[in-house]
This record gives sequence, structure tokens and C-alpha cells, in this order.
Amino acid sequence: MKERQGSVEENREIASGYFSLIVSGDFPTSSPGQFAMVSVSDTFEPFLRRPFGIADQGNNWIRFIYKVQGRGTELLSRLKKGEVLSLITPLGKGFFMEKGRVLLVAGGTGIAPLLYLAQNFEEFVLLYGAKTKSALLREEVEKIIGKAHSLIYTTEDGSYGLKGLLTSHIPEEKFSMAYVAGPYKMMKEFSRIYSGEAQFSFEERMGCGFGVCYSCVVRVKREGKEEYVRSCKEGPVFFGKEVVWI
Amino acid sequence: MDLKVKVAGIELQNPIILASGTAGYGVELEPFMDLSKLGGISVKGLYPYPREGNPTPRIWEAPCGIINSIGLQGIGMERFAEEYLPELSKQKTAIFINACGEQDEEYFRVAEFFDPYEEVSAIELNLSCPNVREEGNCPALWPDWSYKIVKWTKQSTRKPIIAKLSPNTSSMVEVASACKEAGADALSLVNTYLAMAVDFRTRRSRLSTLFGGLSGPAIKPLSLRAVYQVASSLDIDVIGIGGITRGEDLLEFLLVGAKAVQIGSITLREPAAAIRILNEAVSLMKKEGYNSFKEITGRLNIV
Ligand SMILES: Cc1cc2nc3c(=O)[nH]c(=O)nc-3n(C[C@H](O)[C@H](O)[C@H](O)COP(=O)(O)OP(=O)(O)OC[C@H]3O[C@@H](n4cnc5c(N)ncnc54)[C@H](O)[C@@H]3O)c2cc1C
Ligand SMILES: Cc1cc2nc3c(=O)[nH]c(=O)nc-3n(C[C@H](O)[C@H](O)[C@H](O)COP(=O)(O)O)c2cc1C
Ligand code: FES
Repeated sequence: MKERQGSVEENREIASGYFSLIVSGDFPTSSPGQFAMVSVSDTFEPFLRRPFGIADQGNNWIRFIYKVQGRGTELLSRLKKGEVLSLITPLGKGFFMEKGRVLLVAGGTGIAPLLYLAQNFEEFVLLYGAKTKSALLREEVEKIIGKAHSLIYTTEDGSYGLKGLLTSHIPEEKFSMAYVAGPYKMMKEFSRIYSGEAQFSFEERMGCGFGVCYSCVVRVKREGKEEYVRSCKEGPVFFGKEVVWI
Repeated sequence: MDLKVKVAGIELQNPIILASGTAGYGVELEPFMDLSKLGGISVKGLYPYPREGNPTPRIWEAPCGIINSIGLQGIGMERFAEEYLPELSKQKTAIFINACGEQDEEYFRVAEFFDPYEEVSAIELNLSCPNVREEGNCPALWPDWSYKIVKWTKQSTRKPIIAKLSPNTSSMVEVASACKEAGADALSLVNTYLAMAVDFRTRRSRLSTLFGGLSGPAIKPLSLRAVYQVASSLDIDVIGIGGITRGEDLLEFLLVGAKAVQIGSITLREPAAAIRILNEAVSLMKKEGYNSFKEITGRLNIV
């Protein structure tokens, strides 16, 4: 992990309120599930960087997909091509790769790290849910979907794909691993229903992203003992069997 | 140029110390900077035993700063000594142990435990964390309570004792004076300002606790005043803390009487900020014709 400057190559609205940000620069290589801390302001307003999962990376570029939520992402969305920003990347531990047919489960912006992860599998089923049709990044998803893959879309209002919560449409099939990224509530519900082995990518509120402040903890059970561990260091990806859902 | 400063009887190669709780156990920052270039590192607060800390959310952004309620999660003194101290002590920088206690005697135990460790330069007593007792209570709000803890722990170790004070009291100078009387070798101030953030939609606190501690550039003018008040009323070394983000801030804290400073929240945003701040301060001094930090300390003109 290093703090590096990069310049905006693309910062494009791919769906209403959702942006694809490509930053060019010499960034150390990452693995899927890892994230970056991105500067959103040259002033102290806001003060902290913002964490984003890495959505793709290549030679001299890195990509993020983000949704405008509040002040930080709003500022980010105004960046123009050529503007400079600072990244600390790659951070945290990414997904543990399993062989065989896997299930990818994305809720909302949880799709970002899974697009990166998906490139590693020959066979997968992607279960991808959002509130409405306009929040489904279908174009991004369909770029990476090949013949051996299948795709289940869900929307809460039924405006596209299956209607209802993503967790009411979990396939019955057995997978070697499920990879889950999205809101805490969705992941918790998924873990309650799904009995197979699963890895979850957490989005905890972060102060630093590199392990010094202990803001970002997730509760886990290890060797029979419950404890808080830093999701920016030991996560953001955790195995379902060790997570203590709160 | 002479960058050295002396505080609590220890010579530091420069006045920059990483503040406790924003630098982990020190080693986490090795990828970002050469820790040997720092004057010192105050490690994350340590109790005699591991401690779980508060539930999440533990952090909230405030204008130009943050409010935290970490609740002193930590691995305890023994595991720190085994797992981190050997690695950290390879760095040529002073190590400060930030000692915590739920019971008063726990401060004593932490200080006593580190007494044999040559690589530890001093014990900084965290008398002032607002996030571990009811309503932000802490020893540093009370002269008597602070006196008792400093007096005791002073007997537990030959190392210098630094009392870290709270700004959340109108009797800060009295508390400082009590610590001095009890034998403290230096004071560090300030810890975070007791603060709150709420969400009117959910009608709940933004943190898992009702109160948190405010830090960052937002508190700089307040902490500058606090440092001035204490440093100008008592003859004891003061380490200035609170919202330092640039070389000029460092020099301002020295001007009002601090012998050294600690760099806190800015590290979260910019992991190598401490080195930048040092470099900026050095070039500013050169530009203004100063040859050492000592020429600035306490030299505020008051008309
Ligand atoms: C490891 C990780 C990976 C992430 N990956 C993505 C991604 O790929 N795409 C994406 O759109 N979002 C992602 N998020 C969430 C993203 O960080 C937040 O949406 C963003 O920080 C909101 O900032 P804001 O200033 O717009 O919102 P504000 O609400 O103004 O932010 C205030 C504070 O809360 C924090 N915060 C707010 N929402 C979240 C959240 N959901 N998770 C964590 N912190 C939050 C901010 O970082 C900031 O410190 C990720 C979060 C984490 C921890
Ligand atoms: C996340 C966080 C954790 C902290 N933990 C400790 C701690 O363990 N012990 C302590 O004495 N002070 C702790 N502090 C207080 C800082 O050391 C410092 O006194 C305060 O943040 C003011 O400085 P700043 O404005 O430069 O951050 C913590 C502060 C923050 C933001
Ligand atoms: S965000 Fe600071 S320790 Fe994880």
C-alpha cells in the first residue's frame, strides 16, 4: 500500500447518481475485494478520505464505481478529466479464491468489487439486486458475462428482473463459495438463509483505512472468543462462519 | 539547523511526536514514512489487559474534524510488548507508552510493567479519554484524582511521567498544577473535546455512545489557548496537541510555550503528514532566520 497521486481519466455518470471513475497513475497491483482510500477534498471539508472497493485495475489505471451519497461523493462526482487526486491503495485483504462454480451476490454498489472478482471465475451465477431498474448497472455487468455464467436481476419495486429483495431469490443450487457484497442488512439476511460457505465484504465507517484508528471494526468469533477486528486490515472480506452479526 | 528539543528530561531529535490513538502501535505507519525521522511516537492507549472498545459506529465527521468514540480498544500491555515493541524499537525514535486505567492502580501496573524496557522513553498517562466512563468523566477533570494517579505511578517507574490532560474542564490549570506537584515530568494537552452528533431523522446519536471526542483542525484555536494557559502559568514542560496540520501550526504551538507537539487526526487523512509538517516547519524557520526550535518556544510577545 502506498499513497500515490493519479489523474482522472474518466468520471462518467453510468446511471442516475452512479459514476465510473478511472484514475491513471502508477498504482501497486491489487486483488479483488481490496479497496482504496480516495481523497475527496484539498481542504479540510470534508476531512476524511472515502473508501471505495476496487472495481478493476490494469497497467497504470484503476477503476471505481460509486454512488453519490453525501458530501464526499458529491465532490468526487464533480472531478473533471485531468484533475489530480490522491489514492492510498491497495488496502485490506481481498477475497479468498475458491475453485468451481461460485455464487456472486451484489446489493447496490456491492457490485463494484464483484465485477473485479468475477473476472477470475470460469463459472458463476450472479445474483444482483437494487431498489429499482435505474439503479441496476446492467451495462457494466453484461460486459463481463460470458456463456458459462448466469445472471439474476432483482429489484425491490419489480421494475426489472425478479421482484422483491435479493435475499428472497437465492438460487437453490449448491456452490463451492458465495461471495457477498452490499448493505449490512442484506448480508446479514443472506447469511441467515444461505447454508453454504460464504465470504462477505463489509462497508464499515472508516477513519483511516490503514489500521491506525480502530473505527472500522467488525465483530468476529475466533477460537471460541468474540472480538472486534479492524475491517480495513483483517477485512473488508470476512468468512461468514466467523462473523458475529449484530 | 538544530532540530533537537528536550522535553520531560528526554532529548528528542525533533519536536514531532505522533499522538496516541491515531498512529496505532506505530508499525502500521512503516509503509508510509521513515519513523526514524520522527521525534517520537505515542502508541495507542494500553491497559494492563486487552480491551474491547465501544460498539460501532465509532467515528463521525465534524466540520474540519472528527468525533470519535473508539473506547480504547487495545491488545493490552503484554501483547504489545511481545508483538509490536520489538519491531517498533528498531526505529530510531522515542517511544511513549500511553497508559490507561479503569481502576487507578492500573496506571501503576502499566507504568511498572514497562519500567525494564530500555526502548521505552516515557510513560504518558492518559488521564483524559472522554469515551470510557459515564458522561465523559475522567481523572483529568479533577485535580485530586489526577494528583493521586500521578503520585502513585511516579513510584512505579524511573521513566519520566507525562500527564495527558483534558480540555473539558474549567480547572485545567489547577489539574496541571496538581500533576506538577505530584511529580509529573511534563504535561501533554489536549485530549479530545467532549462532543456530540445526532441524527434528527432517526433521533439517535451518530455514534454508538451519546458523546464522543472532537479532534482535528476544528479544535486548533481551542487547544492553542489551552496550551498557552497552562504553559504560561506553570514551570513545567508542555507538549502541545490539537489540530496541527501544517508546519506553521507547529511553530505556533511552540510560540505559546510548548516544547514539542503531537500530530493526531491529520494522520488519518494523510499517513505521512508528520514528516511533511516537520519539513514545512524547518523551511519556515530558515526563511525567518531561526536556527533552532528553542529560539521560538514561549517567545510570544504580549503587549
Ligand atoms: C471497504 C469499503 C468499500 C466501499 N466500496 C464502495 C464502492 O465500491 N462504491 C460505492 O459507491 N461505495 C462504496 N463504499 C461506501 C462509500 O465509502 C460511501 O458511500 C462513501 O464514503 C460516502 O461518502 P459521502 O461523503 O458521500 O457520504 P457522507 O454520508 O457525507 O459521509 C460521511 C462519512 O460517513 C462515511 N460513510 C458514509 N456512508 C458509508 C458507507 N456506506 N460505508 C462506509 N462509510 C460510509 C464516509 O466515508 C464519511 O466518513 C465502500 C465502503 C467501504 C468501507
Ligand atoms: C481515533 C482517535 C483515537 C484516540 N485515541 C487516544 C488514545 O488511545 N489515548 C490518548 O491519550 N489519546 C487518544 N486520542 C486523542 C489524540 O491523541 C489527540 O489528543 C487528539 O486527537 C487531539 O489532537 P488532533 O486534533 O491532532 O487529533 C485519540 C484521538 C482519535 C481521533
Ligand atoms: S479505518 Fe482506521 S483502523 Fe480501520
